[in-house]
Amino acid sequence: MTLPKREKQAVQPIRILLAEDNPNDAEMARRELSRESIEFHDMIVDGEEEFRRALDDFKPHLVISDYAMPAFDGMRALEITRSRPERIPFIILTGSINEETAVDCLKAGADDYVLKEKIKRLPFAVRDVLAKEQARRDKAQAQEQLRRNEEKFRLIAENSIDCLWQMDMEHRYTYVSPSLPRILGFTPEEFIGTRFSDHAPEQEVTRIGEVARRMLENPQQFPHISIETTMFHKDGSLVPLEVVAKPLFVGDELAMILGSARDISERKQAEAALRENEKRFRELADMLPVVIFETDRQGNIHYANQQASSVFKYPLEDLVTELSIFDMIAPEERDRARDTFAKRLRGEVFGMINYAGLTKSGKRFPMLVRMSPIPADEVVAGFRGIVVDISKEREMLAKLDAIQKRFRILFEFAPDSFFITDLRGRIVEANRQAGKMLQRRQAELIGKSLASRFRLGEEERRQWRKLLTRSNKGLPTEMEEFTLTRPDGSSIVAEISTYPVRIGSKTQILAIARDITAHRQLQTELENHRESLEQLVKTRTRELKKALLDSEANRDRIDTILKSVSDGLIVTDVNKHIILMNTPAEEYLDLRFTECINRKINDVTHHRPLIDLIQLAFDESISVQADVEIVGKTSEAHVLEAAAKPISVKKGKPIGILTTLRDVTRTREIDRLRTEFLSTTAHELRTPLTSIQGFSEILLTRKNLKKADKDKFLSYINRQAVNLAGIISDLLDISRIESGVGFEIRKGPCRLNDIIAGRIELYRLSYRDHRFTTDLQAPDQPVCADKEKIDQIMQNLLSNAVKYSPDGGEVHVNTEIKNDEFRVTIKDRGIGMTRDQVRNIFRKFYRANSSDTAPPGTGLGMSIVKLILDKHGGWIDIDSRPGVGTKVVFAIPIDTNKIDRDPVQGENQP
Amino acid sequence: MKTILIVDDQMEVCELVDVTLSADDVRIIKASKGDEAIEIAQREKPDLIIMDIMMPGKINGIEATRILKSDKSTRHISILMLTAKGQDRDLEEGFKAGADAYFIKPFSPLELIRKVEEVFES
Repeated sequence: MTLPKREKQAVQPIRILLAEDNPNDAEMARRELSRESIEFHDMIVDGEEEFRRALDDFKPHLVISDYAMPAFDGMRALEITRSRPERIPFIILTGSINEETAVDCLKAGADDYVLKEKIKRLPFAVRDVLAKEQARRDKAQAQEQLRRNEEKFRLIAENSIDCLWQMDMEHRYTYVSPSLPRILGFTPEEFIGTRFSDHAPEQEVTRIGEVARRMLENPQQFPHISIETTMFHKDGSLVPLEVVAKPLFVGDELAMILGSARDISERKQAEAALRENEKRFRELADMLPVVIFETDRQGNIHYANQQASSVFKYPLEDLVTELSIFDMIAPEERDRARDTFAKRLRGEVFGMINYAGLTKSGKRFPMLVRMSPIPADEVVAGFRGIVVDISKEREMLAKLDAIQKRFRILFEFAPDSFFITDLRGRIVEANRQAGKMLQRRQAELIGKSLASRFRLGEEERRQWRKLLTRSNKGLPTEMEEFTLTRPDGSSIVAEISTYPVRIGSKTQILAIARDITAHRQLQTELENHRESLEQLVKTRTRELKKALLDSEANRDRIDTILKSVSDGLIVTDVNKHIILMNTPAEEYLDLRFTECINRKINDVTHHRPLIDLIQLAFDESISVQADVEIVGKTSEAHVLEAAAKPISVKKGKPIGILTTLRDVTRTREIDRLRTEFLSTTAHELRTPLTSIQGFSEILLTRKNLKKADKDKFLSYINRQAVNLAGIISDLLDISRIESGVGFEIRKGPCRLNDIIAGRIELYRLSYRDHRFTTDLQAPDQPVCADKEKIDQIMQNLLSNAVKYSPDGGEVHVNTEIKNDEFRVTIKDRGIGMTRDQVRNIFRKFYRANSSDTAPPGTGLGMSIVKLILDKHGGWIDIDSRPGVGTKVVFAIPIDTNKIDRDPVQGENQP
Repeated sequence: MKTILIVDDQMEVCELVDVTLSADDVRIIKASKGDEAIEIAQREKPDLIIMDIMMPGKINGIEATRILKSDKSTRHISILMLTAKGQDRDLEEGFKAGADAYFIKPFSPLELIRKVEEVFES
């Protein structure tokens, strides 16, 4: 038996009631107790009455009583002590006692007995008894406490929503509060005696078992456990519970386990809902275009949404684990941020604050930050906030600013006068032009009423007020005219229109005034002009209409004539305005009637002669005719016979001129050629005649002429006569061809060499200055041809050869048969011809040199030569070089019966 | 001794004039071109030039007349234009060029003699 720990014992000395009649024994007892250092106060009694009193007053902790006393014995003392409510330890002290007696005493309730012979044992017995008593007391107290607790517990349990339970050491429920049915459907009776494992799923049993074991092994470390678990409801469903369990020790021993169980279904649901909300919040937060974040008290970021990552360019991970909000701010502004943050922690509230944000890559952008504290009890746990990237807004603002500036410039420098007035018409702003219009400095206009600045009259003020009223209603107005008087007295007419505008929160009026004074004047003038013009046009039209429509028959006749003639017709009136023009006239003058109608003829054409002709006809009231030259579209010149005749409806001045235009180009040309031809012919005829007349007179009048001379002169006469005959013959041929009678070829077999040789001989005689050589190689076979015509060809070619070599010289003739053709070549070394001259040589009347100095000729010869050859089916070719000479080659098919081309087409070309 | 220069591109005409006018006291020079005429006139200084208006070549009768009449050394020489009938325009030009008289061909030689005498007398 171990001594009870001193701490448990009361410090104060114990009170011992000693019931002993023998003082020596009492003394002995006292002595023994002192020896063992037991602190005590004692009281010695030996009578029952004293004893009782002592019990009341002395209130001993311990009674030591002698067994055998005369007055009253130990047993009686014991009885009395035991009858008292409090339990007082009782030791019997006796001289001798036998076993039975001792047992009786113990049975009667004594705690111990000590033999006087073994008095040394007394202190130990005392301590022992006291300890036991203490222990008993403790235990009783504990049990009382326990009972009271239990009582309290039951009270709570019965009134608690949570289910309170008690479990014994075998983990069997010993008590379950009445809340059980509400939670798990079972009645407490159904639960008592059962175990947790009977009502929970496998894994819960295992888990809880584990936890419980740990708790019980280390009661200091786990004074209690609070754990979530599930148990089966009576209906089979699983109910989530929060269970609190606490082991209850009585002394060192585990007496029981107490606990509570709370139905946390609602809480679970709430948690689930919360999680759901949390999730939804996160999703929403991630979708929102603003950055959402949460920080702790130091500013470290604990939560950031997806946007935070995109805006600041950090991975979400890093933001939430490594970074603080200050990392998101540009370094130069961090101090300000920290400052504000500190103030927030102290409870100051701020609205949206502007910072320069900083991305991971170092890019800066303007942002607005708003934060509010996350409270936790009395203290701020952290902050929740949003960041809005306002770079775009900044841009917008800058753009807006630029637009504003531009507007300012437009307003200020507009060519019209711009005023901005309040709703009462008082000028708030005026642009430069406004100042100019009103001859005042812009500053002078501000604050004054627009009506007074314009110096409007009564009527106009009313008008202006109407405009204001409309503007007040928020409606724009049409342009209205006002007459304004300026400081210098001059007045101007202005068109004013008003527009209500919203500038900021105010509605104001934009009035635009345009000076239309000059414009008005112009309009008036124009109006006057127009009127007089109208009058003129009316008069003219009337006159013309009258003239032309006066006689229906005339008009119809003219129309018919106009349409049917092929000559150009133009009708002009007294003012030389073109009234009518037909198609041929249009073509001649390259005009369109629709474009010329009623316009002056000198305005539509530059043809002076025509214009003059018409003018003359009108001025003199006579018919005039003249040839006028017109250059056509393709630049050929046409000769028109223009005849202008005055048109008179009644006696007096004509009302117009009728001009006819006839294209006489061809006619004139032919006339010209004919005239030329005749004049040339006449001249040609004169030349031989001079010789004939002259020399014949000489022969007749001079008597003393030498014979040689006489012969010479006669040969001259002869040759010229022959020449003359040739010319006349040519003329006759031409006249025959022209008259269409035709030009007959009579073919027969001819010895062409003979004909050619004969003609050459004659020429030798006539032209002594020229040398004629021949090389007549062609055989003597006959050729089918017209003898005379071939001779004619030879005459023409030979005379040309002679004519165009005025210096004399050789003329060589050669004949041959080639390709079944009789070919003749005549060569001379004369002046030759240019390519142009060669080209045109066969044209009728063509003279290579038609000036007065040209060699004589009618220009007909070669065309006749061509005609003859065509009729024979032959050809002619000329090769000539100016200054060198000419070679003419012609050929006729030997049997010309086979070939006979009709030359009609080529013949009549001039 | 009178010298007469006859200018005509037709040799027959020159010969005719030669036959008609030549006499003991009349010398005839013949030319067939305008430039030839000018050269001879400048050299021989004839008393009269009978000039055919129509001649081929660069210098025709009218041109030759003009040149001779504007040349100091030949200005004084009388020029008689020989022309075919009906060439009024040429006559006009000839007179403008400075010719003194004209004569029409075909002509009677006797009449030519008379005309020449007339010219010499004036």
